[in-house]
Amino acid sequence: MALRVAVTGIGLVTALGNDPDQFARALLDGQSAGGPITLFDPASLITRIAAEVPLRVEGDRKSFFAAEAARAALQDAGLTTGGGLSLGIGLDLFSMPAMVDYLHQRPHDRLQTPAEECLQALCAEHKIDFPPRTHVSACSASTDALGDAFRLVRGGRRPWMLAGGTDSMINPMGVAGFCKIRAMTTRNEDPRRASRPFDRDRDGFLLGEGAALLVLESLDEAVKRGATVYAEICGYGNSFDAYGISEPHPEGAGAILAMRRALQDAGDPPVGSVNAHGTSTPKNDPAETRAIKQVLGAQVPVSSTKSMLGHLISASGAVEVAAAILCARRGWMHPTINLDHPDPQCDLEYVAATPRRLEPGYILKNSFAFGGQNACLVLRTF
Amino acid sequence: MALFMVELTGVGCARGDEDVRPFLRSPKMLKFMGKQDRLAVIAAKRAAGERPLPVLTGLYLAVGTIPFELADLEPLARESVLNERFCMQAFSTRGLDQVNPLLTFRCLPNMPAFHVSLNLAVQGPYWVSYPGVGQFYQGLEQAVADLEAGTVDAALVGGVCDRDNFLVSTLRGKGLDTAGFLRLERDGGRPLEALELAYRPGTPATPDEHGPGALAFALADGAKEHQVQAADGIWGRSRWR
Repeated sequence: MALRVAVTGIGLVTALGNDPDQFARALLDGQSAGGPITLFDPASLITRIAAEVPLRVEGDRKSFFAAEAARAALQDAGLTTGGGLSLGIGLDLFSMPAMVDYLHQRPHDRLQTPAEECLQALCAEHKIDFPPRTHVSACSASTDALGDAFRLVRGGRRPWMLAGGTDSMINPMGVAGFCKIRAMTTRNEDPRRASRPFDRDRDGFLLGEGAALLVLESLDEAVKRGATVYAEICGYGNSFDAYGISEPHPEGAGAILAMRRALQDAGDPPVGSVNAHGTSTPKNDPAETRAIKQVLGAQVPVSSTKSMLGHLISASGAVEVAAAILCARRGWMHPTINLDHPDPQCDLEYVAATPRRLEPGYILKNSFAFGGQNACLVLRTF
Repeated sequence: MALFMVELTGVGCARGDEDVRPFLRSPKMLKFMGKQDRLAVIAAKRAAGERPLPVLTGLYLAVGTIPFELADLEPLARESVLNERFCMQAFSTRGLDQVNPLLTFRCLPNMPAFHVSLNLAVQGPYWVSYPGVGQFYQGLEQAVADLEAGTVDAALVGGVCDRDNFLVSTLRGKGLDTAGFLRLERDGGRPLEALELAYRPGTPATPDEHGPGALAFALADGAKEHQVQAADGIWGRSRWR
């Protein structure tokens, strides 16, 4: 028998704060986390802005973020041992200064920090009993990590799961790589207005960083032990575009399939709002618009968390799930900021500029990766 | 009696510098492909065989460490220095001019899955993980669950790695470049009789000649049982009739 799955803990490290209340207030206020890159000197790169977490970290930032978020989530849920781990994580490219030293045959720092070290550290600290699962489906990774954890708990294969994502690509190779393929905004003089999903004047995504770890467990068990139930996860689906290497299917065929699979998995409930992938790139936003319209029609309210936090790549889905849940619990959808001049190709019911009242109900969360991996979750708030 | 309603209906292996071109739907895609991408497509096509894949085919894939090539990085590093030290100004101007934009496509961990999906017309669901045979076994476990639940009608379960690579070898030691894939369905092949996984961190890893897709190599060699302790602490065992 399938179990109902509750979210009973949320741990965050974000550019808009780590405390869930502070984070939700910032989102509902429409605050942007965009600013100049300070983690390194971006010098002559065409993009010199990002949404940085205001923390100085020794070592690997994404591992630090994950550790902080995991502690907060488990403390919030009041659970300690006996669960599993499902983590969406960005893979390290390499440290460019270390690479230069290596190629000059000088003593050098580590070229890479393997992602599994992050998982092993989390498992050791929190006495994870089950084999940890890693997800590397790029921008869909943490949505897939949550979906995978949802299935494991729903099927009774794990008592509870710590699940979500962590990433930081605000480093020379990460930023330079995205500059090279011209995926990011170059609105360097106006970083708070640089991420503008669905807006006519959008020119690419704003790179962000951070982590969100959620605790998932059986709803019955959560109620029995008196845990806070933030939301229920009701469905998960994913798909391949199998289309283009750098662009989504123009009609959103893969996205449509993933949304339909998630909704079918949830029993086709009435969807009250959509937390979009909404990257602020020229190609994603119209394709996602067409896909949402095909599946849900044009009247369902849609918002993009990336307008404020930027694109957290492998961590984006989990942070955005947390954003949608925390705002919905307060009875609101957060706005999509900087949507000043809607693109004629983007003609949905976007929640622009100010938050909108939201009744408890079902939320569809979309994440679509470069390379055509699409993952969707159906959430329910009470 | 089989414990699972899952049977092995195809095995595919690839290694080294095999030519991927006969396996591609469009030769134009070759320029976007790194070695992991090429090996994954070859092994997946071999495992899939000549029988068409059903519409609901899942892909479960463990990829290896990102294999940047020395030939791509040397010019970048050479032009990114001032007084023999890394210089951000030089990197972001002269250095980046040396970088082939296609490098980004060849080095993303989700690209082997993309190329398999494109060339085998697979629309998922998918499960994409990293970095070795332990995660492969978790993908196998998920594929079995999905087949038994009817979520998919066939599963391609694979592992791929490029270890004859300077960057990967600094991290994990030198090894073979391999890909191994299984095609699984609910009937028509060798039944899966046992599948076990456990997490045993700190246990010494077993030799890892064939990388994440080691099970496919073992089954292709006629093995009925396969057991592995991966470096990341995951232990897996499977037995096939």
